[in-house]
Amino acid sequence: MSHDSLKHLTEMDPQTLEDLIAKYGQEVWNFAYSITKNRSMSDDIAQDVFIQVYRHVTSFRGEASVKTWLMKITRNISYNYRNTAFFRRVLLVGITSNDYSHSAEQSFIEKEAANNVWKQVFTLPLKFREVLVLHAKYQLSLKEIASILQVPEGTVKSRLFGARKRMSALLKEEWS
Amino acid sequence: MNQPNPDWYGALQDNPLKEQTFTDQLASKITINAISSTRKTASIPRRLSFIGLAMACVLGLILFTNERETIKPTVTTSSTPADNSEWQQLVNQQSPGYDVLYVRDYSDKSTLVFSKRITKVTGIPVIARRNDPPGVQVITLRVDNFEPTMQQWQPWQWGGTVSTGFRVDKDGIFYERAEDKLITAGGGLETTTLFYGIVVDSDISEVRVTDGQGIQHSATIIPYQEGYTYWFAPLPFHRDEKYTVQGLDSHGNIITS
Repeated sequence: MSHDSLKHLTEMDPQTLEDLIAKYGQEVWNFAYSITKNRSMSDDIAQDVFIQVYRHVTSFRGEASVKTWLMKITRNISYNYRNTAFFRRVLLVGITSNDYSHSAEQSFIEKEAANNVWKQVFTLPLKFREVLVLHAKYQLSLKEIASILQVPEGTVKSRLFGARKRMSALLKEEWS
Repeated sequence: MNQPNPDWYGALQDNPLKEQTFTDQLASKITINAISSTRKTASIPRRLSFIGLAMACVLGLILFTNERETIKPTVTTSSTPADNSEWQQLVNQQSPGYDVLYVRDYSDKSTLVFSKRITKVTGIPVIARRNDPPGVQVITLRVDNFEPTMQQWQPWQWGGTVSTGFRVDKDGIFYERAEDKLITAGGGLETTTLFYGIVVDSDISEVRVTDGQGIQHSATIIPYQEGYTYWFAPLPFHRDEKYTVQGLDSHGNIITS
C-alpha cells in the first residue's frame, strides 16, 4: 500500500480496505495489545481503527507513511479505550469467555508471550513500552515516534533510553 | 539514538503472543462492520447520527443461497412508547433494511430496540473470503438505544460497531464453528450489559446468562419465521466480570455453555 495510492482518495473502496486490513491488521492489533494488554480490547481497537480509516481516508495526507498513520490512530483509540469506562464500547463475540482483569491478562502473557523478551516488554511501564515497541518492532524513526506520541523527539529519545536500560536489566536478571 | 540496537531487538520482530490473534474471522468481521457503519452514517445527518452511544453489532452469517430476505418480522414488545412501525422507522432511519425483533425499556429515559437485517452481498464478496462463491448473505444483529426529545424519539448516543462473520454451509452448519450451538454477541451501554445472538440448536429452549456474582438472568427467546431463533438479554452493568452464557433444553439440562 503506497502513500500515493491513499493520499488522493476521497473515499475508500472496500477492496482497498481489505488490502489494508490484510497488510496491516496484525500490526495494528499487536500495537493495540502492546498498549492495552487485553486481547478483546485489541480486537475492538483494531476494528475501530479500520472503521475510522475507511470513513476518513481523507485524513491521510501522505505526510507520514501509511504504517505511521495507522499506528497513530491505533494509539489514540487505544488510549481512549484505556481511559473510558470499559463497557462504553461494544465488545466482540466471545465476551463470555474472556477475562478482562489485569491480573488474568498478565498471567496469560506469562504463559503465552511469544518469547522472553516480549514477556519482559509487557512488564515495562506504558510510556517505555510503547516507545520501545514502535522503535524495535515497527522500526520507526525517533521523528516518526515523536509524531505518533505527539511529544518532542528528545522525549522519545529519553524514554527509549530508559526502556532499553530497564529491559537490559530485566533480561540480565532473567538470564543470570 | 546513536547507540546500536541491542541484540534482543530481533526477538521483538515476532508477534507478541504465540497464538494467532488477528484471524481471518476477525478481518472479515472488521470489513463487514466498516462497510455497514459507513452506510449507516451516510444515511442520516451527522448531527443526529453522532449524538451518543447506541450499540450495533453485526453477526455475519454467510449463507450459500441467493434468496433475499423478505419475510416480515414477528415483534416481541415489552414497552411501546411508539408502536412497532415507528420503532421500525426509527431504526431504518439509522440504516435501512432492519426488522425489529424486540423492544424493551432501558430506563425512564431510553428504550432498547433489537433488530436484524439479512442482506445479499453483491459485487466483489468483500465480506466473504475471496474464494467464497457468489450469492452470500449476511445477517446483521443490532441494538439501538433511543431516547425521547421534545419532538420525537431519537438515537441516544451513537457508538462504534462491531461485527463478526460466521460462514454457514448450505445445510446451515457453521463449518468454522461447527460445535457452536449458540451464537453469542455482547456489548454494553453505560449501565447495562447486553448479550444477544442466535440459537443454532433447536433443542435449546432457554438461554441463561450468569453474571460474576452468580446471579442468573434469562434471555428473551425470539423465534423468527425464516428459521433462525434470536435471543436478547440486557443485564445490570458490572465491570470486569466474567459472564457465562448457557443454552438449556426444555428439561433444564445444559446443552451448551
